[in-house]
Amino acid sequence: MTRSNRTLNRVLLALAGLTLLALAAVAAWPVAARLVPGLLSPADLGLGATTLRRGAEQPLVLGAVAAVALLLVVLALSWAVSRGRGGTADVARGVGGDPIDAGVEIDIRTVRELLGAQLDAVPSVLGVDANAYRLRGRTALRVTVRTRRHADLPALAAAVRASIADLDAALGIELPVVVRLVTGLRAQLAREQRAE
Amino acid sequence: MTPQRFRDLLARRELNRSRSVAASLGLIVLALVAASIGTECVLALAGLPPLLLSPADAVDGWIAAGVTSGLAVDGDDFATLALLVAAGALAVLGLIALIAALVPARRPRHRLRDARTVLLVDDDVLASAVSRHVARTSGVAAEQVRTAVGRRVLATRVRPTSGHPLVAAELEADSADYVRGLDLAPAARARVAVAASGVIAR
Repeated sequence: MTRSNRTLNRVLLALAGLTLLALAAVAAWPVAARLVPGLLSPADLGLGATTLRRGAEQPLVLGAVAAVALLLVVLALSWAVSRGRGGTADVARGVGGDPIDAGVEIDIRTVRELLGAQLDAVPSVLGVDANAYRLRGRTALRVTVRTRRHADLPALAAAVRASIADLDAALGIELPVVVRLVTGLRAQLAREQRAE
Repeated sequence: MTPQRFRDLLARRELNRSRSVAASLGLIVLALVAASIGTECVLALAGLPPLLLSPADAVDGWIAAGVTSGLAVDGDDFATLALLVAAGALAVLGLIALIAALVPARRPRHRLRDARTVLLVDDDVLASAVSRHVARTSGVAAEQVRTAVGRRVLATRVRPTSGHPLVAAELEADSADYVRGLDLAPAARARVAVAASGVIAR
């Protein structure tokens, strides 16, 4: 999970797609005009073609095109390098009046250890990992529970709920938590061992 | 934003794939196109020879492609072929970007209803758990049960052990109870099919 704006990602991707399709249509236009009867080619536009030719040699037009291109490059690169982010090691920081004492900081490692101590004892659990993220001004926890094959899901879900309740009690605050139950690669490849 | 809405936002972000990488790649392709056009413009302004094609030659070639004939690689029709290749490449990239932006890009996960936590389970864990349950209730080995997970359907197929017939309707009712107990959001329907051929007991 990151801080990236998902909607804006999709809008920009759609705009990039439409721009590329428009460029493709412009590039193919002269050839299409030869193949499709009735479709005017750029050369048939007379005045338009002349203006284009002239424009391609005028310093003002060339400078404007170069400036727009530079702006596009800067915007695209600054967008691309600003993706992701949001990860933090600080789960919570106490200020006066909080359930956490002023000056006390809770690190993500504390959360990992608390959850690990609870869930490692559950037979279906292979391991637990936790990360913290800042999103829309709030800190959220993302917990990944790696499970064995053929896990007892109701029992596992109950154990996870209990461990989150214990975490709330230990921290003294209720942080938003996302828990993912996943199968580890080793568990996927392993053969089932059964007592005969 | 209320805590519940924030939890729903977190769930949505985990249940759907981010397009950050695709959007960045799309914008980088656009940036490369813009950079090459911009560079040629600057070189033309400075009176230096072009890297590939000067803006004036590019416009001339583009206009000329509409009046030449045939698609031979020699002579004037080289411009036609180059335009077709460029248009094809741009169209493919544009379509990929547009489809990537429009499809929902769901991740193979389901949400379990919970008032406190956003509890998500990967589809393979869900399939494995349902298979285990069906294997136990039908008395067959786990290897004889396969479950496929769709967004709203959990389809299980059981290969019975020879000499021990199974009733699909009973298994399906039991599996439906189990899946209902998981409280998936959105709710999924459990289906169980028993294979016509069985396996020899070990």
